[in-house]
This record gives sequence, structure tokens and C-alpha cells, in this order.
Amino acid sequence: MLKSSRSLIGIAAGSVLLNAALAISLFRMRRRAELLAAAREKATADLQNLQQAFHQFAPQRVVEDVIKRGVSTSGETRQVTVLFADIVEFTALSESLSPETLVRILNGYFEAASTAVTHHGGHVAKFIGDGVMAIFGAPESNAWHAMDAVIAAVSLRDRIGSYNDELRKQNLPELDVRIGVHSGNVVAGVVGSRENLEYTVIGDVVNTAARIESLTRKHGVGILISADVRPALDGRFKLRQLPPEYVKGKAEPVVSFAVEAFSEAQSDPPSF
Amino acid sequence: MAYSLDQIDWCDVPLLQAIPDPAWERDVTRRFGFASNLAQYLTPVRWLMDAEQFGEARVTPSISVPLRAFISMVVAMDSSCRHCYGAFRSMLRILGYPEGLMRELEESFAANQLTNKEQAALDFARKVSRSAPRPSVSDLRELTAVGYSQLEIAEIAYLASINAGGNRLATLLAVPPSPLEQIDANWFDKLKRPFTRKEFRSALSSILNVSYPVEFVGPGAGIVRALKGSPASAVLATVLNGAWNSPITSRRVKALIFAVVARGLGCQACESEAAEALRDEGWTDPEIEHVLTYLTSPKLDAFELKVLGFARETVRYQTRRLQELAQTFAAGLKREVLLEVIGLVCYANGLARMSILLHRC
Repeated sequence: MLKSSRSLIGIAAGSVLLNAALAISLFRMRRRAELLAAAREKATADLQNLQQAFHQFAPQRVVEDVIKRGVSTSGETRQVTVLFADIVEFTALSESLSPETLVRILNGYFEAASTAVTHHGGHVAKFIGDGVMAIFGAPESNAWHAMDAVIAAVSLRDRIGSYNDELRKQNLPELDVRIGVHSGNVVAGVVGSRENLEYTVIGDVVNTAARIESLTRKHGVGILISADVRPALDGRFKLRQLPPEYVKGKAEPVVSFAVEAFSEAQSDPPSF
Repeated sequence: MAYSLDQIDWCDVPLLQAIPDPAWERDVTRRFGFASNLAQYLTPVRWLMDAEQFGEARVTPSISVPLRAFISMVVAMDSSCRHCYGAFRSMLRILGYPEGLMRELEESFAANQLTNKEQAALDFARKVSRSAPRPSVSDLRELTAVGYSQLEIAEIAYLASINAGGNRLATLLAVPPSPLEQIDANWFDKLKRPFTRKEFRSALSSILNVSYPVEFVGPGAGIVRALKGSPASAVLATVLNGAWNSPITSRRVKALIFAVVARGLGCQACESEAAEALRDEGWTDPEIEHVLTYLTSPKLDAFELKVLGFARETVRYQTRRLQELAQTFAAGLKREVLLEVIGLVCYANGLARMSILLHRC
């Protein structure tokens, strides 16, 4: 009797221990599953944020290609307008300021440039030193890319005017920004090595836009557009044609126009 | 493009207050069995309220209920519409689709549980909604190759385009998340999910009876013809007739909106139809080209100028920025004028995307 009671107690104790071990094991498994789920959630969120960020710089189908296949070969010819902006005599300016002040001034300028570009449907492709390269018409197509780019250029000039007011109050040197705008066909797509891919536009338009920007110094104007941009602008833009000039890499002299003013209101009724 | 609901930066305050219209709700409940929840943001513009109601009815009978919900969800994802994305995601959950499948779609734009045929429809719907570049005849051929009929293709294109327009409507109005998202928030709701599912399936399966022929003359008429054979044709014609004959804004404003959105999306067929309507309003061809090239004209008044600037911004957009633009645009406008313009830009966006169907003819 006593023996059987003992064995019963033993079985009960064993069962309790087994249950406890099972419970602990289940608890651990559940905890591990929760940790795995949390890690998955985080990885998913990170991936989605990465996708979202990538989408800012590349068309959606390119993002999908990269996600599905790891690469994208979908290069295409697109009509775009490229805007180049930079600060006049930036080297001299950088030598006269402390690194902290220089970075602060530059950041304010880049902020003004980014806002002017994105508010008018453009996309900042690159900051190169003190220069800004913006694209209108890619990654998203835009029927009014040339007009938008010139309005963005005028807006950038106005924003720099306001920024200069702030700099003056802080006894800091003011900025003088020159802008060149040119339109044409480019090849847009993802290029680079497997480790360093970027969505970009390639073509003569990019080089010519940079050359037109450098012509602003020669002509002593703030905003210069090419003859290819001119047809996209109506009477609201006050333009002045400048003498043709040879630029590096071009066999023919480049015809350009200075943008002197822009008014939202229609000034000169067109003749139909 | 959003990859999850949380990523969408959505304005917390709707652009306009919801104003229920009990008489209209009674009427549509009698006819359809339910009244659209979103319509109360559209009162008193009757054609737009009706359009929203039609949007929730099943006018694309060749497409299965789940595929319809999947198409609507991926298009809403693509348009980053918080309201629609959440609503269709919840609808699929209620229909019994697991969370994992939706996640797969969100993360990799494809799901193992979907057949190749279903996946092809979703890929095509995204192309239609995105229209960057606009889908081509080869995209239609791909659908034919996986076994879709001409009618099915037409209805898929209709559904994707109408949703792209509907997403803009909900986005511009900053409509709060759908009550559907809360449909199984507590244990009691979870318990009755099988019944809710049955009820839902039956409501979504009832095909709207619109066999009556409806003709429409104006921008979009070609697409109405291209949809012939589907109830969607009569529904679209009814909505366009309502919009075109509404006295709230002039026909010239309507035609300008359709023309600008068509130019923005590079749809020549839609632009031609809108140009024809502008010629009927006394515009010459050079005047039309001028306004579409420069988005301005000495013929436009201040309101029309404002409308054109607004219409072009709806073609491609960042959600939050579009909602802010809508707030700026709304300043000083009467509710019905604002709503009609918003409705028109949404339909113009839908039609220009749907015009892929014209390649079929």
C-alpha cells in the first residue's frame, strides 16, 4: 500500500516536473517566436523604408525590378530638363570661413535649392561640392518639365535672396548663385557596379546644362537657359537673347537666353 | 507608392466635413442594398455621390470578387491612399485571405498563393494606375497570353483606372481610415467573422443590373464605347453624363480639366476628345495648344487658372503634398464647386489611364 502510494507520488511528481519542463519549454519557444516575429517586423519595416527611399530616386518599375530580380536593365530614352546651380566664387568664400560656418551656410543653400526644385516637380540628383544638379521629367515623366525647371530656377534665386537677408543679419557673407537650364533626350536607368548602383540620367544634355551654367559668368547673368528650353516659355517670362558662345565639347556656338523676370500673371497676350 | 499602411503620411483632418444625405442614402440602399460610406463627404454633388456608389457596386462581373479586391488594394498601394489601401486590405482579410499573403504582396509585389493569371492581372493593374510609361498593346497581349478574354481585360483596365481616380478622391479629401479596418477589432466581432464573411461575399457578388444602353457625348465617349459588353460601360456613361451636365461648373472648365490631365499623362486620344469639347466652347486650335503648353491663357479667368494648376498636380503626386495643395486650392471656394472640381480631376485621371482600351479597338 505504502509502496503504491510512493509510486503514485513519484508519478505525480514526475508529471508535475514534466509539465513544468514542458511549460518552460513552451514559454521559451513562444518567447523565441515573439523575438523572431519582432525581428521580422523590424526587417520588413527597414526594407519598406529602404524601398520608399529608393523610390524617391528611381521610377517604381525600376524599384520593382531590383526587388524581384536584384538588377534592373530597363534603361530608356526620356525627355528631361537639367538644372545646374552653383555659388559664385565659392573657393574664395570657403577659404575665408571656419569649417563649421561654411557647412552651416552651405546647408542653408542646399535646403533652399532642394525646396525650390521639389516644389516645382523636380528631383535633386546630386550635390557636387557647392553645385546642385536637378532633373525635371525623371524619374516621373512631366509634360511641363522645361517650364517647371525655369520656374524652379527663378524660385531658387528668390529663396537665395531671402537667405541672404538672414546671412546679412548674422554678419555672414551673402551668396551669389548662378543657374543654367537645358532640355533634351537622355538615357535614364540604373547604372554602376553591383555594390554601388544609382538611378541616373546620361547624355549630352547633362554636360551642356553644366556648360550653360558656366556661361552665366561670361554673360554676367543669374539664370541662363538654352534655345531648347525657350519654346516651353510664354510671355510671363522676360527673356533676353545673348550672343552665341562656343563652349567646351560643342562644335557649334551655344545660343542662350537670360531669364530676367517671371510673373504669374499673363503680361503679353499671345497672337493666335 | 507605399509599401505598408504605416508609411503613408496622411492628413488627420478631412478637407470637408461629412454631411449625410438621408434621402439619397434611403434611395441607394433600396436600389443597391447599402450606401457608400464615403458619399457623405461628397454631398451635395449628386453625380459624384452616385459615382462613388457605383464604384462600390460590382459592375465588372467577369472579374472574381477576390481578384477585384486584390486589384483595388495594389492600386491603392501604388497611389498611397491610406483610406482605400486600408479598406481593401481589411476587405481581403474579411474574405479570408491570410495576413502573410498580403505582406508578400507588399514586400515583393507577388504572392505564391496567387496564380500566374491573377499575378498578371495585378501587374497590369499597377501599370495602368502608374501610367509611367502608359501601358502598351504588348501589355494587353501579355494578358491575352495568360488566358484573359477581351472583356476581362477591359474590366481589369476599368477597375484599375477607376480605383486610381477613386484613390485621388479619397486622398484629396483626406478621408479618414475606413470603418472596415475596425470590423473585427474585438473578440465578439472575431467570433462572428464567418457570418460577416458570408454577408460580405454576398454583397460583393451581387452584380449591378445596368443592362440599359447609355450613350455619352463628350470627353471619355471613346472609352464608354470601348467598354461595350460590360455593365461598366453604362455606369461610366451615366457618371460622365451627370458630370458633363452638372450646372455647378461650366463645360469649358470641365473640358480644360480633362485636356490638362490628358496632356499630363500623354494620352492623345483623351486630349483630342477634350480639345473637341473646347472647340465646341469657341476655342481655336492655337488657343488650345497654348493653354496646354503653358497652362495659362488670356482667355482664362482667375478661377480657371487656379483649376488648371490644381488639375496638373493630381497626375503624379506625393500624398501629403497633394493634400496640402488641396487645402490651399479649397480656400474661398464653395463646397459644391470644390467637390465638383475634385471629382472631375479624379475622373479625368481615371479616363486617361483607361484609354489603353482604345488600343484594343
